[in-house]
Amino acid sequence: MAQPTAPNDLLPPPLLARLERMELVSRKVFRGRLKGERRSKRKGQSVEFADFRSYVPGDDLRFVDWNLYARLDKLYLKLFLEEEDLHVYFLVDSSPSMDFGEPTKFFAAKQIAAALAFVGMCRGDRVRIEFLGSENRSSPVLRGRSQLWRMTDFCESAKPDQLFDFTDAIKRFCLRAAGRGIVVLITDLMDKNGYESALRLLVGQQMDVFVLHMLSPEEMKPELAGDLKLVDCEDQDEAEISVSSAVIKNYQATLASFIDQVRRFCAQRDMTYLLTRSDQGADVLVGQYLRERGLVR
Amino acid sequence: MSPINMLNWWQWTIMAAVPPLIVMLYFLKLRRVPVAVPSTYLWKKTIEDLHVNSIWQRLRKNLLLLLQLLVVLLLALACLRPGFRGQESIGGRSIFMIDNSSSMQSTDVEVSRLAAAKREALRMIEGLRSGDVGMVLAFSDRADVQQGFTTDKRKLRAAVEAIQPTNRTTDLNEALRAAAGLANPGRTSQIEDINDIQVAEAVPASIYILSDGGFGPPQVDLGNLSAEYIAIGTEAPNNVGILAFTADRNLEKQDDVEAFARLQNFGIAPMTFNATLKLNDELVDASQVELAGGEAKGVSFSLNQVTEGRLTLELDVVDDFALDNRAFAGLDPPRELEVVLVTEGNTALEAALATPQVKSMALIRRIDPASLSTAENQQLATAGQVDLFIYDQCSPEKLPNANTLFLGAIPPGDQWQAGPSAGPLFIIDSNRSHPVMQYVDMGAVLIAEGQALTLPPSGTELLRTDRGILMAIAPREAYQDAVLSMPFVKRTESGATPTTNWPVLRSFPVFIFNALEYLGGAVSTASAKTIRPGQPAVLSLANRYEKIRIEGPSERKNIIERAGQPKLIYTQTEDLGFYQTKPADGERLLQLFTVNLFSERESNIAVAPDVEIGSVTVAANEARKDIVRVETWRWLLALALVGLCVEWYVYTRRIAV
Repeated sequence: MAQPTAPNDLLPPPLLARLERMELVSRKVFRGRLKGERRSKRKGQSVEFADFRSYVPGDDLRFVDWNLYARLDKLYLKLFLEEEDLHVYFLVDSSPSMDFGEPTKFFAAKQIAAALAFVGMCRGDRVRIEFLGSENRSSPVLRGRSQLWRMTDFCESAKPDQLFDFTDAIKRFCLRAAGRGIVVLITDLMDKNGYESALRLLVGQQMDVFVLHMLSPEEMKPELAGDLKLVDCEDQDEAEISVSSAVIKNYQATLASFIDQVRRFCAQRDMTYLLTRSDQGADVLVGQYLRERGLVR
Repeated sequence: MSPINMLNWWQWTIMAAVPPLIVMLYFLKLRRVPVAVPSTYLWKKTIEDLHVNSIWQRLRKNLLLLLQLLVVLLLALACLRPGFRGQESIGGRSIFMIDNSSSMQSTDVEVSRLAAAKREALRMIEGLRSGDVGMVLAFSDRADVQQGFTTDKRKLRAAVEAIQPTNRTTDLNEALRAAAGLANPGRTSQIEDINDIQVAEAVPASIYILSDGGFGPPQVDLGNLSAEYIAIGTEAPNNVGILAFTADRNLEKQDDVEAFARLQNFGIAPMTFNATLKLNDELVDASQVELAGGEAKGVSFSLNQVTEGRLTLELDVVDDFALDNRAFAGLDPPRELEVVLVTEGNTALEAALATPQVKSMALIRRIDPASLSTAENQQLATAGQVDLFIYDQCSPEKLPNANTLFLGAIPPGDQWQAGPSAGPLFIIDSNRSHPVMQYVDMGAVLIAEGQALTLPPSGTELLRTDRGILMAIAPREAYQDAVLSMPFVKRTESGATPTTNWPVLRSFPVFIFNALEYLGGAVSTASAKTIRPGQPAVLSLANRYEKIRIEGPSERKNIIERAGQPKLIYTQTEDLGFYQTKPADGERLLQLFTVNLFSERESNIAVAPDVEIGSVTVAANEARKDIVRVETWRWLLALALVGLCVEWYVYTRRIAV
């Protein structure tokens, strides 16, 4: 199922050109470390006025509002909002179930992660891509357009992993990434132990979480017929089934109910849930689908 | 149900093993194709409901299995050959002959005898097996094949339903001949004759005569037909009927009319009722009649000052057969003929035309032979208004558009030829059967002089003498020419000399009257003609009416063109009552005739216990019905086939995605 990918397959030049004009959108305002292009909660030296406060000894006299002193005979300091950078994490599920579809869900996930990472990098955000697996494989922090090739090399070298515990992998990420920011989790959520505890961990980090639920067309509309033995590619679990139109209908109802359950879970926890198809293509997905749904602008 | 075992015990064992085998097949583990999927997570959830622990739960709601079991059950039932007792007519070929004569309108059974006969016929048709052929034939005094041989019961039923009652009398001969002809197509071919093309071999058939038996013994050889008589009706019905009804003018007093009717009680119980006579629908007389069971009695009525009209006799009685409770008699209007006598003067002839009988019948106009060529008389000859021209010792240049009687002359043209005058002549033969010579006694007639006639080819000789034909009649298009080649008076310079003694004999006015009546088209019988329903009426009407309108009792008016025929034959006489003949564009009543049942056989509605057909006496019987099995295995097999189709559909629908 897995397909070798050429470097240009991941982010073709026309897509890059489009991505350069985009920007990642966070619904929360976070603190950053370096000056960036985003407003921060931290007061600082931008042109945007934030508040006044009483002068205390040691304050920079350049920020004293002398007009106010002349009027009130008291020293007040003008506070300005600091413009800072943003932490953006892309978590890509590299479980064997992601290695399905045409193209594979894993490839589509990598492509979306790379594309969104590039958007963040162009805007001066601190971007990190992490492939969740039995051992999480994390990229260094990437910032600036010049890091593009590092990022693409890292993504392309990633391969689907063996079976691992999804919750553990998220836990490992949370331990390492203490800061706040945006988390874009790209996964098919097909973990038999459930996805809820993993997502709860992300919520606990008080991050702005985007869950990109990646499904292949074969999962959404299976084209199976006859008496089959379905073998789970992760744990080799078997399910005997005689496929009929009624069974297919039942499956689709189950899938719809599953999606609805995830959607409600996310909505209740202030996470953004987005259902994506692996056969949609990164340009359509990022340029149109995610834009319409507010992840980028 | 009376099942017949079609299988041995071991066959039944195999049959019984089939359903468990089918059920067992459902428990066999399928060899499934392994297919790798990203995750069985959702699939497991999907088929969670389908996973069952108990085998019975597994079988539950399995439509395919149920259908397969049903098919096997139906097949097993079909093998059992179930059937039920049915009643069926004999033979593969049945002919249902339903009497629709007037007596079948009797109401001694529910609705009418015809309705009962139709019910019985429908019941018998229901009993026909598939593949049996049937034929439906309605008969009165004629036979109507309502439906030829067919296996289609629907057509047979429709044919029976379509039979309508008639007022006709009954005659089985024609119906039997029709049935025999249709049933035995090969009967006419000669078996020994090698040149004769043999037609299909005769097939035995059963005739079912659904009738009350009111017909004479038919003289028909049934051949290989077997007849069954199914009596419809009761044996002791209640009926009083009119068997005859006439009205005659008194010969001496033309205005007096004597009406006479013959009534009979065909039932057992004595009946007392009123017989009322109506003239033109107005009551004129009534008489109480008392009739013992089986008694017949005559009833007469005298009417004064009646010249013409419609007489109706009604019996005020409620019985099982209403058709014979009314009778009709018509008094024809005195017919006035237009007769033109072309003569220089003939005392004897004029005297014969001056009798009261002739005067009441004809209007005589006299013309001098010299004035024949005048425009007025030419017009008269060609207009066709005159019924008869009598030419006395003269002849026109051209024959008129009317019947003619030539006395001592012959018609112009080549058709008639006369020999030289000769005498004396002795009459050797007289055609007394011809209406003109009826009642005319020529024995004492002496003839001094006459000519021998040569007739047209179609002429009829009326009087022959030792010298040849003296009198003859011949048709000419729509008319007739009668020629008597004997002058009554020989005119010489010395004066008129009689050439015969006929004018002084009694037979002469009779002859003249006959000639007027026949050639003039007059009808002299006092009572109008009466016929039975369906019989043709022969009408003698004045020549001048080209189109005739006939008004029957059903308000229906028929306009008939005579097409040059001297006699008019009218056949639409199904309804009882008065038929008035009038000119197409006038209201003058030309002739009246009536249609009456007057049939003792039809009025005697007691059901005949048996009927004679040829030399065979067939007793009344219910249709012979054999107790037969009506098979149902075909239906079960068809149902199994349907079940199989449904099973296939369900299966394909199940595996289709």
